[in-house]
Amino acid sequence: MFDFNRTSIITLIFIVLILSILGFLFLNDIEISFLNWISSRIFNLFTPVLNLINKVYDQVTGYFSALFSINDLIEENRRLKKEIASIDRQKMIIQSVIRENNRLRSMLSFKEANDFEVLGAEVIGNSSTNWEKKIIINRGAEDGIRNRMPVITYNGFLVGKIDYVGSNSSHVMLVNDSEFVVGGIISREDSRAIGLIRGSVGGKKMNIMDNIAWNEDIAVGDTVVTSGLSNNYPPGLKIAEITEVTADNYGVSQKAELQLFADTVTIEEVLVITEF
Amino acid sequence: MRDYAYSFLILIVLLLCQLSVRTFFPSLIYIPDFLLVFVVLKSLIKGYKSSAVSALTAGILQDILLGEFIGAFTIVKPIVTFFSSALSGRFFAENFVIPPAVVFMATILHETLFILLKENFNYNFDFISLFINIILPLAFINASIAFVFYLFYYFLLSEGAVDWIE
Repeated sequence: MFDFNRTSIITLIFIVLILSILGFLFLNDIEISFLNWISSRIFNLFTPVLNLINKVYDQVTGYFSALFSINDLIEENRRLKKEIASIDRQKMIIQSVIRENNRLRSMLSFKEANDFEVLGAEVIGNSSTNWEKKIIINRGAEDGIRNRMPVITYNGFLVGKIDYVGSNSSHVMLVNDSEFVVGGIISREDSRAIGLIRGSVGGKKMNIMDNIAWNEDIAVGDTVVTSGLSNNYPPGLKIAEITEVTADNYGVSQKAELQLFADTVTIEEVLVITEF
Repeated sequence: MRDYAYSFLILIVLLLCQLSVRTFFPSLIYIPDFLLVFVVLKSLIKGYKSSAVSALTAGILQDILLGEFIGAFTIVKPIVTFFSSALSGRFFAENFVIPPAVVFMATILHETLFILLKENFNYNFDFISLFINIILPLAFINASIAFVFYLFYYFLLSEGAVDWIE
């Protein structure tokens, strides 16, 4: 370790001093704009490399999977062509229904239910620690991304929110991160119970919904969506399904365990809601 | 100066590996801390004075990629390295048990200090459950990686190759 000569003691004091200053800055949440500037420059240097690694990996795996499954691909191609023909027919019917729906909505002066603008992004990196559940996406301030924008999957399940924005990439805090909190509401006709959905620590996908009033009707299998009570998330984004309901705070309120819809572990592409 | 540059390059490569490990293995439950393994091994082999800068750099880089300049890792990594360097020069290079064992203990200390510094863990979660479910498996993983790293280092060194841990 240390031989206690003059140089070693000076080095030790110097290191302890630096760590004390850093500890003081960290524990008191002191932000120094110059350090933030350096931090964002370094972040912006790293993310193109991550993007490149991700692209090379995708191309290599894509090439080999195509090479080893050529017969399956031919069969799948044949099946997909048939499906496309059938979907085209369905699309024509749906388009006429949409036109009719729009006309009726405008007649009733209804606002479109889900009229938010989205931006597609690829996941290029993950968190470097087991404690914070974050992903890095390849869209940043130059693409119009801002802090706290909601992030969803292609099928509309809530993934998280933008936590840090670089020039060409951003951090997304996932819905199962321990610091993540969002207002949720039960999506059932005869129950509109509200509560707070919180993330967890560890490898499990389990989230918790608490602060639910003791007399609210909630049951296993109920779907939880964003309540939209805050201005941070649009209402109606699907989050999770209830798997267990228990009494909380000595029966004063209820608590539910949730199974997330979005698979936050294997997620590859996301949509950022830029306006809602 | 050249030694610091080598160390810095190794840290960057290890950090990129750490950030992309889930891209290559999507169903991986625990993310190994390659940076911690490297700085602890360095402190064991070279002592604290030459590993302190690496530990501080590793912590800062890890925190920056988590969205903050000075975070918990910046503080925790140099502290852990200080303790792990206690065994520096006190074991035979042929002893392949000491380095993984030290990395195992260092991981436990590293993760415990991290939890203590993160106030949201202190109030919301049960430490025993975190210890059993996350810290202990992670310590085993890091120790296994350290074993492979150290074997690789030892045989490279005995073959007369460059001392990359410098």
